[in-house]
Amino acid sequence: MSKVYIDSECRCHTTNPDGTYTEIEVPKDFDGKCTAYIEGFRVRPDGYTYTRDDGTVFGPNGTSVTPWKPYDQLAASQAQYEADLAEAASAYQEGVDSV
Amino acid sequence: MGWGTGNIGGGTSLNFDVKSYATEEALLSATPKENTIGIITEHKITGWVFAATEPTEPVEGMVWISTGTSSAIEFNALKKNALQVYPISAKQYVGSAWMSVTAMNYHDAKWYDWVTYYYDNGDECESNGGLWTNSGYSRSGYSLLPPTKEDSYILVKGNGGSTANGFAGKEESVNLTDKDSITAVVVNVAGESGYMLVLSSQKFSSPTNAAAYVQLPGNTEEETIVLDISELSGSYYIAFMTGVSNKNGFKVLEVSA
Repeated sequence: MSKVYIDSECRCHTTNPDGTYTEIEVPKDFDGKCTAYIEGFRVRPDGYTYTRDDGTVFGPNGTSVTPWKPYDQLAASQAQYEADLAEAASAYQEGVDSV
Repeated sequence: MGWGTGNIGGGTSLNFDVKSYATEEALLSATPKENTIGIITEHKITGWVFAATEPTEPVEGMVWISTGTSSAIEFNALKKNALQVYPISAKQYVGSAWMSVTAMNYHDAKWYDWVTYYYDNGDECESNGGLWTNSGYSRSGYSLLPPTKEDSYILVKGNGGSTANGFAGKEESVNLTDKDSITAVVVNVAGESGYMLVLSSQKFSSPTNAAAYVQLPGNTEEETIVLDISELSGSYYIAFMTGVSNKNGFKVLEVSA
């Protein structure tokens, strides 16, 4: 994952189609994570705040990384992504080995 | 559960009352009936409802007391028979939106917070996740130095080297399903960076398997950090960690949710 952007509520996006999001440094723990996983998180940089739907304000001190979609779903998406990668790698190797 | 009206006790069959107080000071100075739920709000309470999920037809002033399967202040809602209630948090419908309000229970002549403590100024709150330790945790390539336990705080401290993280984690995972936020009161001894509060579904081994984390502020003041955990369900391990090369560490005074 080369770039991650956040919107005004610190939700992550992997593209910036309207140029309105803020590019941020990709957290190391996003290495190897699929788009569905990443886009289910908020990354709140130090100095930023966001407001949850119930009115609770988080920040501004200290960078935080926390899901805004159910974490169980994000973990399941990542698990499926890794399974798909493993299957693709295995199929590729079989193809190589057959030559 | 049912829908009750106004700041009144629910009749002769109910074992509790719901009352509003304009300020925390007003609440704490009051001595109401046993099992009174005190709501701190400036808005008139027009009724209350106990429910695990958001009421579908709220009215202005309604207080929604969300309930779960465990609570820091469970009680029997009935005078006869038993209906055990596990209040988690309270919200009031104001201006067409739900707003969080502070709620406490009056029990044995004392007000009790609805918050669950995992560490409280020297009390390790062993019944909530066990003791604070480094045992059972790991991080590839790094040693995890155990916490130092003082009278009123836990000190999490590295050794200033390149491969030793200071570490303090709860022995057991805790159920955070009904919790919206986790709060910690900390003091960063020398204002160093790289300290963090981490929640992970397995005993911590790396930030890459963390479900959520927040870095501690880089100043030396006593700070309250709050991590949004509203989308976490199930059990998680709570832990604090220094980065490598940090040597002065930080104090943990309180952890609650």
